[in-house]
Amino acid sequence: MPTLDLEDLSIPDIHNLPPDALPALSSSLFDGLKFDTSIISHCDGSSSLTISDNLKLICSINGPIESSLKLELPDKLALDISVNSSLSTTNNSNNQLIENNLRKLLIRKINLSMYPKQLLVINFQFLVSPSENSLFQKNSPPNTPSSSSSSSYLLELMACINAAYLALLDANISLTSSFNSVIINNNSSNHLICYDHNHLHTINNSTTDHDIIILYSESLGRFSQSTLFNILFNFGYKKSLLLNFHFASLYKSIIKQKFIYTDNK
Amino acid sequence: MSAAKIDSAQVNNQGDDEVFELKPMNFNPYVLQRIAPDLLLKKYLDLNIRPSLRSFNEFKSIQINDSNLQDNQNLLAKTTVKNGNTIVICGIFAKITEQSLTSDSSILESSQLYNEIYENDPSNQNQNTNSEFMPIYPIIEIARGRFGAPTDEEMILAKKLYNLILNSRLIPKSSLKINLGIKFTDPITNKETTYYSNADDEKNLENKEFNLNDFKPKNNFNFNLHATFKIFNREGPLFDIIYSTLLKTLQNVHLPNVYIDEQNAYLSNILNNSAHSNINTSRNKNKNNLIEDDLSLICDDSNTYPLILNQSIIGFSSTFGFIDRIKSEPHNENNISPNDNDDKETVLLCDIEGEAEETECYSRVNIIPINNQNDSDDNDEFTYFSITGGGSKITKQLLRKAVWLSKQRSKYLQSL
Repeated sequence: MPTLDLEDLSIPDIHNLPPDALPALSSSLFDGLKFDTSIISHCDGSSSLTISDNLKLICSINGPIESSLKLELPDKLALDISVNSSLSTTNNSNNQLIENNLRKLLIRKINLSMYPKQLLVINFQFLVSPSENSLFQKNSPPNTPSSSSSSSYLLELMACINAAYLALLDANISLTSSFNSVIINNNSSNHLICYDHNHLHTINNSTTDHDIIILYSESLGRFSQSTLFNILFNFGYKKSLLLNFHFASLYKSIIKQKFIYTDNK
Repeated sequence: MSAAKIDSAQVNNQGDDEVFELKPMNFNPYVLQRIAPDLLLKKYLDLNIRPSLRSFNEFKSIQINDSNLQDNQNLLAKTTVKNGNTIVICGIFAKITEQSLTSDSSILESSQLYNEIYENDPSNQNQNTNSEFMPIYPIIEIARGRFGAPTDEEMILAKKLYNLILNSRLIPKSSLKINLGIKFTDPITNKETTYYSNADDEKNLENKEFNLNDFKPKNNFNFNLHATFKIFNREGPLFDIIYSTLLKTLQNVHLPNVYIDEQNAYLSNILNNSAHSNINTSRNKNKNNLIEDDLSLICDDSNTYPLILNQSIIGFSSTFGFIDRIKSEPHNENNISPNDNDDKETVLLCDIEGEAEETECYSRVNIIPINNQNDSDDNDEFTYFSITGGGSKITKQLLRKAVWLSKQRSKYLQSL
């Protein structure tokens, strides 16, 4: 049973890095992850996320808006999440699974009680998705039913979580804490982990296991307990912290754009 | 067990004096768990028991019934499982797909190319090996008293099951490949014999001058496994029970041997050859029909062989819920972990059951360990591990406890 060689994947100490090195490092560590916000003008918040040529996703948020009677909740915000594939127009079960997992996560992280009787519409549109790409690849052998279906499902879910987070920030929706998700591929297993970054002051080497809050994780394949715990409580968390730093540089620019600071006292 | 709530005030207007009479209102647990699940669960947890009257670390009872497939010839295996009050019926049937490799040589070439590339590239080892395994196509139906399109829960369960079976590499592609036999009829004695191109069969053939493969269609045939689930009396999350039922059923699957008739084999081969030689000439419609109609694959129910599963990854799923409660007496054995707050503790609940537990347990862990082949305890591998947080905090200690319990449960289910 091959185990993950964490030496190769070790992340340098974030604090000792020069500020310019961070985006380059993130880009190499996250497979060419790129993101942007406020890309659509006719909605309250939007974001786009690209992972090399493999995945392209747009997330748009409308709300809080007036809810229909059917969806309305008396004391909290209702969520309407829909994930749309790049090729098929109908809803498929893969999207249902992603929607379900996203809902589980977002209802815990959005401050729902801030917006009673209102509705938040969150739409995801895949422009390029790995699961559908593989179906039409010329080089794929016949009769291999989505050979990498599970890992592509995890990749899509990861992209949706991160895109939702950025879009929620862009739409100025109240969140209980910041969060992001990362994927770690081992030789024989794929792991998706979404961490809650509740208290940023713990970002140092003295982080204990007790500080780590896992919002969602899914591991598929074949893996040992030590590998799993190492990924959940050590390597994955470091990777997630790095991504959080990367996102933080984006909020800086968002705040600069959205708020006008004056010198008048 | 009844829960009281001061709810209504009865007002008696007698002159100017208003007399309020506060009456306790009684609800039975079934009503209370709908209107105030948190209250109900708290009341039970304070008594160190759960609404289902099980203790915290107690799983639901399970009964497995592997019935024969005599009653329905289309089913390859059928299992009925009763888990608590929930009944799951799982049936597995197969469909045959044809792979026309010879007719389209470009696909064959690309497939070879693909294999060459991915075999030589160690970084794609994962994908490559996954493509050597087959998924199962589940259809899940949860009885809810009406018909209609599948609900979200059914679709999600089916997709999760599909992902899991494919990614855990349970069913090797080779075990679903059909070894097509041919039935010969002796013209003198009218005795029918079916030959399969196994190594043994070829040795047994008296006349070694002809090759059995010459009589067969060039295309490959494969089984595709489909599983149907009927679920009655849903009481909680269903994934564990569905996965266990599926594994138990797959272990009973016997695939039939498939053969074609000698005459058809001869005809189809002739027609195939002529079609290949005259690609440009317009095909006779009747001829095409002849192939399709007559090349009927016959499944021999009396001659079956067991489905070969990847035994090294078999393990059964279990789900645990986590919930905070006010700390009870210190001598209580069910205390699991001390929390940040001294007055709170997180307890682990096995096999979530009932509306109160389902709505209140946000934090859950779903584990599928791999059972040991031999009885040694050193195997600590998993095929699936999922954490849903957001409710009670799941610490490493709690995870270890859940892992240990899931291994015990998986061993027990294997022994059934």
